[in-house]
Amino acid sequence: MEPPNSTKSSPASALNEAVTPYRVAQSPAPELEFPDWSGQVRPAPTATMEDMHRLSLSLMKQRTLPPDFYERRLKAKVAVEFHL
Amino acid sequence: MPTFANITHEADRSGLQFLVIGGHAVAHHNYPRTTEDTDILVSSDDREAWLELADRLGLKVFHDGGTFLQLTPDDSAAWRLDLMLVNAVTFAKMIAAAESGKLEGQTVLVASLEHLLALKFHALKHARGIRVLKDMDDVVNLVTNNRVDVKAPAFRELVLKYGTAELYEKLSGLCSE
Repeated sequence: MEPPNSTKSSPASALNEAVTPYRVAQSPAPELEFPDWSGQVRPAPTATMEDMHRLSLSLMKQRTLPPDFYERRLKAKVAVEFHL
Repeated sequence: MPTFANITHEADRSGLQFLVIGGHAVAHHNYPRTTEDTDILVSSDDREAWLELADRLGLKVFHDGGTFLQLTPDDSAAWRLDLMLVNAVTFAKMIAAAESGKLEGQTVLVASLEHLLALKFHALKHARGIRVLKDMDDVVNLVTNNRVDVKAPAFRELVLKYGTAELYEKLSGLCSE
């Protein structure tokens, strides 16, 4: 652990010190013409119900629980409620 | 699957020039970050030739916005390619000031820091929602990591020309040492 007054540079400040200060040299500012590029669309990664179903099956295969675990638990729950 | 090597090779063969902008250019200028696509700047005069090249490489036009083309490979693991179009005069000026860089082992031309910042300021003028955060993060890190003097009159002039006075005020506050 570094002492509170350590002078050791952080990786970010080390990078900063290694970089020569950049000067925006061109004055007046360069004459560049950019069009309106708004409206770009990329679909966000989406999952269909089918994808979700496949994923569930795949996860179920990895389970170490017995296949009838939830069925038995439900039966037990019903039995307890019935008993009460 | 078209790799960037295929694209540069085909572009060379067709005599087409391009300039790397976007996330890869941001990384070239000392702010490495993740990116989901490759953005390149091309001359609007070469629009048809680029569409032919995309077709040869199996890239499909996902969206044609007129001023830009978003291309998608068949293989979802391959890079998506976005072409931003500018007029021939602007393109020539940006090529003249470009730096040499590497992308996937290919030697490419990358927009100069000054021009990349101008593009970012322009983008921020039109950006909405999460896009503002992404572009602002890029600008702040480009300015900080390259030790750009935000108080220099030339920097202020650049922001005011391509961005807004409000943006300059924000940057001055965020980037002042």
